[in-house]
Amino acid sequence: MTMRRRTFLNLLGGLALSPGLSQAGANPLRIGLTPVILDNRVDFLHRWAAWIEQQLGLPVHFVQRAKYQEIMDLLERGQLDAAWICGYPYVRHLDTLELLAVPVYRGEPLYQAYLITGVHSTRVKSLKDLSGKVFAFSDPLSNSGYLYPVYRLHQLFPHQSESQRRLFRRTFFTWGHRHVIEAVASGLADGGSVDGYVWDQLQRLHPELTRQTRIFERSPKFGFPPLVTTRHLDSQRRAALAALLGRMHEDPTGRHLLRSLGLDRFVFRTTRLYAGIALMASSVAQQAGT
Amino acid sequence: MRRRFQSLRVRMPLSLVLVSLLTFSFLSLVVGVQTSLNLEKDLKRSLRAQAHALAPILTDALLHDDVWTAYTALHGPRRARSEDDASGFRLVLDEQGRVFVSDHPRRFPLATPWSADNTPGPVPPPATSRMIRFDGRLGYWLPLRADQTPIGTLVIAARRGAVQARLLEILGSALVGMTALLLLIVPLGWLWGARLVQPLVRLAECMRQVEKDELEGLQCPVTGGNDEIGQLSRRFRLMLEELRQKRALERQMVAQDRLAAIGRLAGGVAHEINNPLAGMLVAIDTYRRVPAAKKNPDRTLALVERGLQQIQATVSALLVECRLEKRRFSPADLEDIRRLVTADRAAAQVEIHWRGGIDSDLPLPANALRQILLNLTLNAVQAAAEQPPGRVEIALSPQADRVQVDVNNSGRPIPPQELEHIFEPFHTSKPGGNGLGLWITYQIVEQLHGEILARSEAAGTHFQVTLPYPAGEAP
Repeated sequence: MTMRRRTFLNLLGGLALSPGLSQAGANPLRIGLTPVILDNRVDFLHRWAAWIEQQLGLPVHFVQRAKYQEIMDLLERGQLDAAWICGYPYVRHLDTLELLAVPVYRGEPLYQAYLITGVHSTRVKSLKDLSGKVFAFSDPLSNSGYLYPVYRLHQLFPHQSESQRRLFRRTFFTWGHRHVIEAVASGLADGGSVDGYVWDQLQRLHPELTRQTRIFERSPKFGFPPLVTTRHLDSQRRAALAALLGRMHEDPTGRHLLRSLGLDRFVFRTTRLYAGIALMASSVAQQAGT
Repeated sequence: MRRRFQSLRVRMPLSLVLVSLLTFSFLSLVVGVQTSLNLEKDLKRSLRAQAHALAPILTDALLHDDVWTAYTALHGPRRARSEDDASGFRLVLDEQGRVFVSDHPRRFPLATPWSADNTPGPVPPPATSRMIRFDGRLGYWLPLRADQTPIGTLVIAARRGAVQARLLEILGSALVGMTALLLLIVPLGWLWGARLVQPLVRLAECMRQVEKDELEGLQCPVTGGNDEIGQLSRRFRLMLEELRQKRALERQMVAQDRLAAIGRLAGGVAHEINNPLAGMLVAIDTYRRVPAAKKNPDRTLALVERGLQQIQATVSALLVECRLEKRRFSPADLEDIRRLVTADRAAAQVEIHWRGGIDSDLPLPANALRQILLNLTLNAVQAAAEQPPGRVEIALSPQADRVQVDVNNSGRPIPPQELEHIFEPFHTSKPGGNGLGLWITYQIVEQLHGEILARSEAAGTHFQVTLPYPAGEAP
């Protein structure tokens, strides 16, 4: 989920960039997308890219990768101008990344992680009930899809360093929140942890899939996966992209695109929004280190 | 019903239909078996192809512990597969024989041991690929190797029932086609068979009428064509024609025989009457011409009277009549006949055997039976006497409703052409016989509704008379 949001932010950044860089033949705006959003909606991405191009007068390339880490690598190597990533990798790379914009979801720039299980596993009320079962994570760099459940396990079993391995019979990564939902729905996994925003969107678009899963725990609210840029991005481009995202909800097409994503608008926030995630990350790192 | 099935008209089309059915069944069987083999072969090929196509990506996934990629690889094709082999499955086992991933995660939970024969505990991967039948399924085991080292096994299984279902499907449509074809062939076969057999049936009908002696106006239509039936038909018509000519010839001969017999009878009568007539005419002439005769007319009259009596005797003999006679033939009558026969001059040279006999009266007119017995016996004695040592056997055998008389003699056999005429009047082989004895016997037997038979061979001649008792009478 987080990753998808980042991708979205990247896209918005691209949009904002266009007014200042309208000359033809300019370097295309390269925006990385992760599965923090439903990144398989190709038609939507085309429309979004077209809108940004029209607004900024710059060619826009969305760059999609299956794993968060690959987008992070591209960002670090300067091969992306912006990216929509998860809050967890953002707090890990505060030194090199800058917040571009944060989506507003249901009135606030926040979201939750959902812990889900098969719809027929009615007795599962907590992660503890999944003892000896198969658990699916989305991505090791996902807040909702990895950090949060690991943190919860640490809370539940404070004295066990690798508690999740002892608790579950088997765990695996699906490299996408949607895939976690599919894995749980098909019975491949008995439980999983997903981005609540993605689950909600999927429920809207593919209710037959989410219907086979049941949410048994909702996390506290965390900062929504942001759009970030690298610190060495051209400031003009950065400003243009930020401005475009900031007024996206004012433009009819932009509003329409936002509605497709199930988001209200983009706002600008500081790193403090992600303090909760940073806290969990350090806690988990500490425990793993012990 | 049995008779109906014996007719070619039924059997021929029935055979055609039967042969068609057999052919169809055999063909279906061959097609079925071949299809089954092909399907099985296709299934094996398909399993092998799927396994080898999936192997690289699954090997990678196994190496990198990437369950989801492996699941996607296994699960994707399952959706594309048709319903009927949904009961098949794909499975990746790790090197300890535990489920790494499968396309039916609920049936094969991750990280649980699995083997085709439910062996408890881990099963190491096979060294080489193999095709195994288990649980009504066909499964292909393919070891997944990285750097020549086995790291797991891919198992792809399909239900063999799917093959059977498809086979049934194919056989079903074959059956439908067959039925449709049979619906066409049965009436056609019936018509063709009937057409083929029709000339034979007509011929058979024709022959039956020949048996019934309905030759006149019998038309046997001849079928054209030079096949065997046509030839048979023509040959039969020729035979029929010949038969008709033969019958006509026979009728002609019978008529001629009858005319001849009448001629002989007329000749005999004329002769018998002419002799005394001539004598009488001579006597009358003498009476007129010889004066001395006039002195004694009685003599002439006596002569004429004898002549007339002779004529009367001849005529009476010809007009045999069983006068209504109440008296029954009694044992005494038989005794009389014995005595009369024994008294015959010829009897001295002949050995006579009497068999049978009666204890009580027979319900038959005494004089008629006496005459029959006497005629036959005296004839036999005379015939036997001609060829010493003669022997005669006479048997009177009374039965419940009739009496049988058998007379045998050892005399010279009667030639066949003569035997035909022995019952005709004035037919005689004896010097001095008037040829009326057997004629009279025959007439009496006829009038008593009996039967007389004559048979002659080298050993002798045999007469047999059977006389039924009049209705309501018994001995």
